[in-house]
Amino acid sequence: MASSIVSFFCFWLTLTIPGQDTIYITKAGKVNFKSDAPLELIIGFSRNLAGVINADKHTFAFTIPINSFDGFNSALQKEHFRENYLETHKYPDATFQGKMIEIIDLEQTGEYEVRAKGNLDIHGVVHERIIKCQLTVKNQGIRVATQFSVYLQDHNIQIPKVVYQKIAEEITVEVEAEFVKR
Amino acid sequence: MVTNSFPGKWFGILLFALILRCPATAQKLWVKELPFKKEHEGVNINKIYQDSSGLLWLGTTDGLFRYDGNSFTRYLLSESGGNVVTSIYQDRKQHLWVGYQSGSIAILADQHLQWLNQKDSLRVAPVTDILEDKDGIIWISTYGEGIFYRKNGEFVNINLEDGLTDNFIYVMVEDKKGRKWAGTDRGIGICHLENGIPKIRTINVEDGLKDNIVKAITSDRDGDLFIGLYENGFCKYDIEREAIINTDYPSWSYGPINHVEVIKKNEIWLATEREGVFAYNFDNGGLYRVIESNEFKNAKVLSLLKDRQGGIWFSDNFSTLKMTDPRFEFHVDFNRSLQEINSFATDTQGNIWYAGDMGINKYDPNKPGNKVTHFRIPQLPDPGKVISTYLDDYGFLWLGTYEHGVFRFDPITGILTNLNESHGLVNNNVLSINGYQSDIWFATLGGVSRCRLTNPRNPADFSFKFQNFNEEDGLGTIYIYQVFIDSRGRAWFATHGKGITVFDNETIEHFGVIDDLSSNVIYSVAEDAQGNMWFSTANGELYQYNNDKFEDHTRAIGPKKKSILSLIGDRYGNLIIVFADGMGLLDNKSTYHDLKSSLGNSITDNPLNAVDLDVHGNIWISTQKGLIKFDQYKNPDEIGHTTFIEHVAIFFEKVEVNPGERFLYDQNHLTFYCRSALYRHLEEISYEYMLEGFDLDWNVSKDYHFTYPKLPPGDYSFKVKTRLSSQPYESNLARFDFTIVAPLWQRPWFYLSVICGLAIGLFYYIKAREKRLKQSERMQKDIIEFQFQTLKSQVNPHFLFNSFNTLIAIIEENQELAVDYVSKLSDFFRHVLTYRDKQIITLKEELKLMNDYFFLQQKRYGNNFSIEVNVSEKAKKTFIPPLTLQLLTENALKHNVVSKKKNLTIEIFDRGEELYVKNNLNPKNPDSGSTGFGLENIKNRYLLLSNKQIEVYRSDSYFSVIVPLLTKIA
Repeated sequence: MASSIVSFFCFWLTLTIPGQDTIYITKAGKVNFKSDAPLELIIGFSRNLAGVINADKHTFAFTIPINSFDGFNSALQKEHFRENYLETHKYPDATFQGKMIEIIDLEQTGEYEVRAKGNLDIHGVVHERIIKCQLTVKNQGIRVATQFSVYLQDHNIQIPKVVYQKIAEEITVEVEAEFVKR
Repeated sequence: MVTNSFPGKWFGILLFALILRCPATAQKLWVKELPFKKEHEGVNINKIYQDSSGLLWLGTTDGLFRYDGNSFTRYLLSESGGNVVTSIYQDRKQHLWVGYQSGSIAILADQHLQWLNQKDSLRVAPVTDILEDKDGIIWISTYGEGIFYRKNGEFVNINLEDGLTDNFIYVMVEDKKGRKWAGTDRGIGICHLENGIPKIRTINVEDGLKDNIVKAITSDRDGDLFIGLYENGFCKYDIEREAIINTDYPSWSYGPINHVEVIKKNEIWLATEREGVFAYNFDNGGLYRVIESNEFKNAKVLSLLKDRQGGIWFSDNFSTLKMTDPRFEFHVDFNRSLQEINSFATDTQGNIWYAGDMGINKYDPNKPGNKVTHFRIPQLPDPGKVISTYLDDYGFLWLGTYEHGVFRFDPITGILTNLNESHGLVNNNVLSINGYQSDIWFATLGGVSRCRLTNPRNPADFSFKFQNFNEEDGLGTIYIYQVFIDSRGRAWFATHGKGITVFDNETIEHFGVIDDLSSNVIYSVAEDAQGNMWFSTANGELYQYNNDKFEDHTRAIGPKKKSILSLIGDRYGNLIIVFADGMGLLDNKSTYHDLKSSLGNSITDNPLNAVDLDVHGNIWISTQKGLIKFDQYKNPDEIGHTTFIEHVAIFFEKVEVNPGERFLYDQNHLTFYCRSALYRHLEEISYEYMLEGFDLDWNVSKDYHFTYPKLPPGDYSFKVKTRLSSQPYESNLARFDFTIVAPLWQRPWFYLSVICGLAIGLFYYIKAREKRLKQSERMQKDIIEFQFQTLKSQVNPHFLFNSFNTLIAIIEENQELAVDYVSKLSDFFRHVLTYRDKQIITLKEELKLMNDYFFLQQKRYGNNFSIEVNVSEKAKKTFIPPLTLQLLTENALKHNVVSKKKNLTIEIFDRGEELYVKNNLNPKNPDSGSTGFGLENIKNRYLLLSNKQIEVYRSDSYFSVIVPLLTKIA
């Protein structure tokens, strides 16, 4: 895990340091997730999504501390979520970093649909994902909105049989973040 | 005629067997899971590959595996990890290339993975595809570093900077024009080498591609390419017209396509990310889901392969390896038609007729697109009530119903006619219909009716006559499950309570418990291709009837009693048995093959006797889930080579061998491991093998390895082929020729040379012995002759006369001398007598002897004859044949004039190992008759004694003889 944080920051640095590239950042992106199981609906949210977009290289990186998620139906549930399912003591962050497949001019005001391809690291298990995002470029900023699914099985997130009916296998994740030019 | 109110329990049986309805989800394909996951939990199969010999290779996250139908064998590149295989390819030299996630490339040679030359190692990016192009150049695609091709043993890179769409290549294939197609996130990069320089073209959305992300490309036999996209489905690329052909599938909503596999001409299968597998037919535009997503349970299909037998293999990211069984085809899908088929009939064109959707349906399995022709007939009862169907020889369809009697349908005119109890039918519940020419038989819950058509060929004239059989008419029971007309025109009835009943020549005969059947309740009757009759009882027993004898075959189909619902014979002599929970095949050698593993749980509680054999030899089975077509012989010709001799072992130790291998005499314990690539028939494979030179005939075995211990030396040829017990398939013949070399001492040339050697030895021995014998014989002869001659010469009267004359002369002059003379004479003769038996004497003795002789002669010749002896002391110790010098002296006296004027002087001296005897020459004229005995005798004696010979020189004034001196006593 430590290595994944280090690599993330290395990546962050490569994105941020070069002087000429146009960099957009966010520090308080919104992430909501929803588990719509037959017996229970669980919603979690966080405003701690940090992200950076390199408009010239068309690369990006996001990170979010799992412990920043709030919501849930009970405190116990939240504790289970952190300690048992996502094991935040071992894997504190979820990250997504990669590049944009569609090349668009992020200086140009407008609405775009872009597919972001990158490595999604949740619970220490990395999957390459292509995630479709809506980008709105306006006033020197970019608004990023997306919705995608995370399969618990994909990321080796083990749910006890007892609560099987209460937690969905497929978790819907919504992201909304305002990026500003740095 | 009896109207029935039946006892509840029988009704229950009928309900169970006939009219069970429950909604069922359709399953398009029978998928069988292989035991990979069981053995290798957590290992995912990234790539399934079939090599030219038919072997399956699995590229997994934990090494390369080989599946030979029996077991999975693992090959590791390194013990310390880095064994994630991402691509497999066999080049034209049959070398297997293996690409790894780490970027490594290895070649499998001699059963070992070997790194490709280290300097060839590519940069660290997963190898996604490997191929050898038309020109024999190896191409490698990577996920992150673009494409590489191999030039002069080194890899040359093509990447973004060269104009490639992207460095992340999902897939790379070669088209028939030799171009390499690389699927990326930014369209397809098409590369080829022009005079050694890479040329790249791009196809993307601007060219009509519906998405830029291309994760799957494959090509069919004609060279057309099929492209699977991340979004918006898939398309075809027409290689001749160089054009993208988009399907008119308006909205693809099944997500990314990860793999495309060509299944047959114009039919592709598409593996999606989460939605299962779809089949699309380019001829009729039909898209249907062949494998439900729940077959994968949220898993991704990682690899998809159609093998050469038509089986389709899948792997997913949860270690699963599955294959489909192409012998089975799923046809009418009840989920779609919302109908249930309790009975159906096949016609002479192979169509299936069944009641459904307020009418009658004709289903043409080979018709593209909509296969169903519907005849709307509202007056027909609910399809669930149609429980028997029959097509007669004149093209009329007969439908037997529950409670409504029989309907006859004319497909040409569309006329439907109902016959029921009011027309003379014995009962309105018709469970089974069968016929023979103009006789149509009905099995009902009230007995049997025979309907004789009086004018069958005229559709306008439907005239008939019923004849009924029930309890009172000798049938004995009224519940008849099936009527079956055999190839001889006999009618067989499966009865409830009276066993199997046959109607032949207007007489009825029963066979039941009394004939050792276990039950009098018979569910099914069938006839196999050999004309044997088969019956199944309600207890699940199976009997064969032949030549008035019943044979119990229940044990052949397994120990557990299963309820047999249907029996049908195929045209190859096999009997297909449908159980309440599966299906099996009893072949014509009475070997049973369970097909349940192929079928899964697709057959559950089927209708009774809802099976038929169509004109093409397919067996059709109606199940709760739809119609299944079963073809045991599907594509036997496409299989190709299937039988291989995998390896050879000596004393169970595997060895590397080549054809024509020569084994030593003590390597004569051989085991041959064979393999068949008939993956879908594993349970029915038997090997026929023979060791030519040892076996006299073929052996048959289910085992795949064959051991021959203690083979005597000789030339052998091991031959093996595969047979399938249920069908007339015979594979290629695999063979391995070898020789067991005889040990040295058993080889013919060894014998021959030993005999020759002995013969030669013996020959020389005999020859030498002969020579020796001859020699000693001659020597004896010579010695005897010499002794005789010497005696003769010494007692020569001439010599004596001369000696005595000399003696007379000296007696008077010098008496003392005379005494001396006589004593010398006596000495001389004594010596001659002493030495004549000896072969050699010392020179000293000989000189003494010669001196005596000289003394005697000198008294006669006086000073005219002299001998000068000048012999070293050393020479005196050497040896010489006796009387040699005496003879030579005598010779000199004999042949020369001795007078005052012509003195005779003999010089005797030694030179090295030779003695020279030399005298001056004053030959007598004429020479007094020489016998030549003297010299000849000496010569012969030397020949016998040693290899040294005397030499004789004669000049005008001298005569000399060189006598070799012998150092050793011979």
